[in-house]
Formats: sequence, structure tokens, C-alpha cells
Amino acid sequence: MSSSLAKACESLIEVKDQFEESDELVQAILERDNAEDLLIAVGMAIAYSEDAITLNKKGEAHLIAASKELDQIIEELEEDDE
Amino acid sequence: MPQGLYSDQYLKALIAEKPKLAKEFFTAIAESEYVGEKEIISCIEVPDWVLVKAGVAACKNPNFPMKNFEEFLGNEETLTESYWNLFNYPHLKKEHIKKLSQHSNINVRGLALAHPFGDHDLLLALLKKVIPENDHSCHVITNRICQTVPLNDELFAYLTSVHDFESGSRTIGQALWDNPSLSDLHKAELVLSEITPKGDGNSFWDDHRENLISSVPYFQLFDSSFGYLKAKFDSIPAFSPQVTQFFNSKGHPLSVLLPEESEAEIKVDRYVLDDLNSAGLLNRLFWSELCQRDDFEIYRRNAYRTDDLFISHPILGREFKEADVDNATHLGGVFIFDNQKWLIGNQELPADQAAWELRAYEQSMATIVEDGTYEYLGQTLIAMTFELPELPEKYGFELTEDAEEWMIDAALEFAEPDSFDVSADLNPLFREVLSWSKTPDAKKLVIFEFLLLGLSEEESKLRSDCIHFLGCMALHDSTPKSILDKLAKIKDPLIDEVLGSRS
Repeated sequence: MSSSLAKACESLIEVKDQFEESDELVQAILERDNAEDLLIAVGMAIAYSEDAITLNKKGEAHLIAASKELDQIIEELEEDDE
Repeated sequence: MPQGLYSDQYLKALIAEKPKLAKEFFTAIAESEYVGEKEIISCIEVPDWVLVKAGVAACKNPNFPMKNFEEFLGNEETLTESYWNLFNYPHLKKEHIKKLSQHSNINVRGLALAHPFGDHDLLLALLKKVIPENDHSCHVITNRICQTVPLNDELFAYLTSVHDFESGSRTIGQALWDNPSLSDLHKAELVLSEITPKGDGNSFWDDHRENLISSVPYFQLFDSSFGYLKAKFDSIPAFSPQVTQFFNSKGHPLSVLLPEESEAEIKVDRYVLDDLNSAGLLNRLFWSELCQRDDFEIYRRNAYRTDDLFISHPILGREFKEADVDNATHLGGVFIFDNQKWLIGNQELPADQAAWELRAYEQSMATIVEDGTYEYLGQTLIAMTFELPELPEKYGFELTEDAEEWMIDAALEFAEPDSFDVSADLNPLFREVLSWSKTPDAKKLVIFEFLLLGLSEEESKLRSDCIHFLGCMALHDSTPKSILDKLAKIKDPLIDEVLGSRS
């Protein structure tokens, strides 16, 4: 596993862990046009970490892109809070 | 056996003729957790030292010692927590009632005032205070006082004036109908005031009764399952075989199931038919051998809030097969599967059902997250591939061999019982002692007569059970011709159809 994929997976799983505590984060994701793609990516990261799925290049790229986008959403939320 | 206190004639004979054996019998009961069960504390042959072991619930038995009862009365915690049981004591004295009538606990005070030794003027005053205030801390008005207080005209007039007051799922008016001191004139007044008894929506099942205490050694001998009582039942030390031998010699009804000839006449009695039919004994007697036929097998079927155990057979199983799956437990011979020892059950959650439990039908991760369900997002992804097979290719992943099991494990955490695929069969390791083919013909006739007695019941589970077992009798190769002839004379369509199918 490449380091960027490992980092993306870790980040996506952390996002899922934040769902319980942050309704704002959930709402911010759901308001996106590609909410379904982002949430699928979270599910994929969890399933991948449990060896329930394997990823091809397309899958890896999806996780990395989704991770970046979710990081961006979290950053924006933090800025709003400040 | 009847509800409430009862006398067990077989136990009575054991006490009279074999006192040492009776002592051993009671010692085994007293040492077990089963000692507090209804058949023990309700039996008037049970001696005081066994009842003391049973605790406060045994106060309703007249053999319960006064000394121990007064200890309960003197313990404030026991009194205020167990007043229902304590006021069942048949030897309550005037001085007890006088003292309890001044107790600070309103339930204790109410029960004391309503007792035949109580002051019914003070009771009326209490009721006139409590009922208008809608004081539901007094739990005993409908479920005890109105049902038991000796009614005088003044009390009756007040209670009917507030007949709508409801507590414990019944109104005062409904409770009054259960009062044995209700006179014909009172009944007429209730009818004119359109105060009717509480309808019992569950009456179909109400013929369930406890077992005779003398039946307990037989249940041990038959290795019977006892559902929620299993642990308590299993705590009874093994009875001496002499106990059952003695009961056999007195014609105990459960001895009809033993393969040896009976020395005594076994009396057919409606009240012991329940014992015979309980714990699946008749099911075992017939089914274990009928399952050797190609067309007869154990059939377990689950549905919403039920897990039915029955048989499949072209005739005897037809009504069950065609019945509403949610509501077939009341049919004859059917019972709830509860891991009975004589059966072996399996259940598994199929992958597609697990996917359904994880809401794959939503076909949208966003919908699921919107509802606040985050815990199983990985497994939900796997689940969604059942509804959206294009998902892996679209997002660039493939399921591994472990994926399905991982998803099922998650669904097991919250899957409803009716989501499982269930099956059951006779347990090949169970040492079955019940056998229709080994039952002597004379006992077969007695069992036939027991079941015939069940047919005289009104529509009930017991009646349906009896029809089913008579059908099993009609099917079994070991049923003698004399009984087959009697079965034909019943003129029941199901039994006739089974008889007609015999080649």
C-alpha cells in the first residue's frame, strides 16, 4: 500500500469516528452534490482496513481524492468555528 | 390440576404410607431452587419446613408457620414489598389486621381494612379519599380490594359510583364482577348500569395450569425441558426410583407414558390432562417414531415474534403450513421452539438477509447516514453490493472472501429473530424413553381416553392439541385395531383423513 493511500484510509476512518460527535460535519457532507461518493469512500476505507475489499487503481484514486475533499470540509468547518 | 391451593392425592398417599420416602422427596425439593414454584407452594401436602424454604410467596399455604409469618410482618421491608403475598395468609388474626390497619403504607392499610376482620367504614373513608385524588400509589384497589372485600350496600354503592376508576389494567366496575360476595341484586345493578366484566382477549391460552408436585419426579425421569424454569428444575437432586415406583403403584397419570404394564388403574381426569400434555411429552411420544416415516418430519418456522416447532406431513401438517406464519402457535401440537433437549436446532442469517438488515434496500449511503446510522458503514458498503452489483466496478474495488462473513457478523448484532433461517430435528443424542410402539395396549387405551376428554373442551389450545395427537395415533403403525375403530367413531375430519390414508 502506498503511503498516500495509507494516509487517506486513516483520514477517512477518522472522519467516520467524528460523525457521532459532529452533526455539523455530517450535514456539511450531506449538502455536497457528491455526498454519496464521499460516504462510499468512507465505507471503502473501513472495509479495506478490515480486508473485506481489495482496491484497484480507480479505487485507490477515489479514496485519496475523497480524503482530500473531506479534509477540506473539516478545515472549512474549523475556520467557521473560529 | 385446579388453580390456587390443591391437594395432590399421590403425595398424600406417599406421606401416609412411606413417610421416610416422603421426607427424602421433600428434602430434595427443599434443597432446590424449584422450592418457590407454584406447584410446591400451592400444595396443601407440603410441610411447613419446606414452605419456610420457599419464602414469603408460600404464605398463602395454610401450612406456613405462624412464627415465620409474624417474623415477616415484623420486618418493615418485607411488609411493604410483599404485602400482596402476606395478605394471602389464611390464618391472619384480628390483632394482625388491627395493627396493619394503622400502617403508614397505603397499600398495607387498604388491604388490612378490606380484610374480613377490617373496619369497612374506615375502608370506605380511605377509598373516598384516594380515588377522587386519582392516587395511583395505592395499587391494591382494583386488583385486590374490589375483588375480595365483603361488600355491603354502602360500599357497593360508592364503588359503582366510581366504577370508571382504572388501575392495574382494569376498572373498579370490572373488578367488582370478580368479587365472590357480589349478590344477585348487585349483579343486576351492575348490568343495569352497563358495567360489564373485563373481556379477556387472551382466553384461548388461559387453560394453562401448573403441574402436580408428584409429577416432578416423572419430568426428571423423562428428562423434560422446562423453558424458563429449566435452571431451577435442574437444581433438584435426583429422586429415588422408589418414589416413581410408589406413584406408579397408585396409578399416577404420568405413569401412563412408561413402557411397563400398570399395576393400578390410571384414572382419566381433565385436571391431569395438562400434566400429560405439558413439556412436550405427547409430542415426543408420537413424533420421535413418526419421524422415521418418509412423509413426516420436524418443521421449525419463525416469523414476527414467534418461533414455532411442529411437523410437516401431507395431512397432519397441512393446516399449519397454510396458516398465517405470524399466528400459528395456537394450532394443535404446535409449540414455541426453545432449545428443548430432545430437539436440535440451527439458525443462520443468510447473506442477503444480513444485507437487508444493514438497509441495503436504501441503495444510498447518504440516506443511511442522514438517519444517524454510522456504526457499520464498511459493512453497509458490502451490503449495498447486493442491491447495486455495479458498485464495485464503479468505485474500483472487489469483495474479498471475508467480506460476506464480516457483513453478516455486523448484522447479527441487531438482526430480528425472524430474519434467521431456522431448522430443527430430533436430537440424535437425546435418550428418548417415550415410545408409542413400546406402550402397552392397555395404556394406549388410557392415553386415547385422555385425548378424547380433551375433545370435550371448548375451543382451546388443549383441544386442538388433543385432535393433533389423535391424528398422530391414527397415523402410527403401532396403534391397535381396537383403537383405530374408536378413532373412526369420533368423526373428526382430520382424524378420518389420516385413517383413510393408511394403506
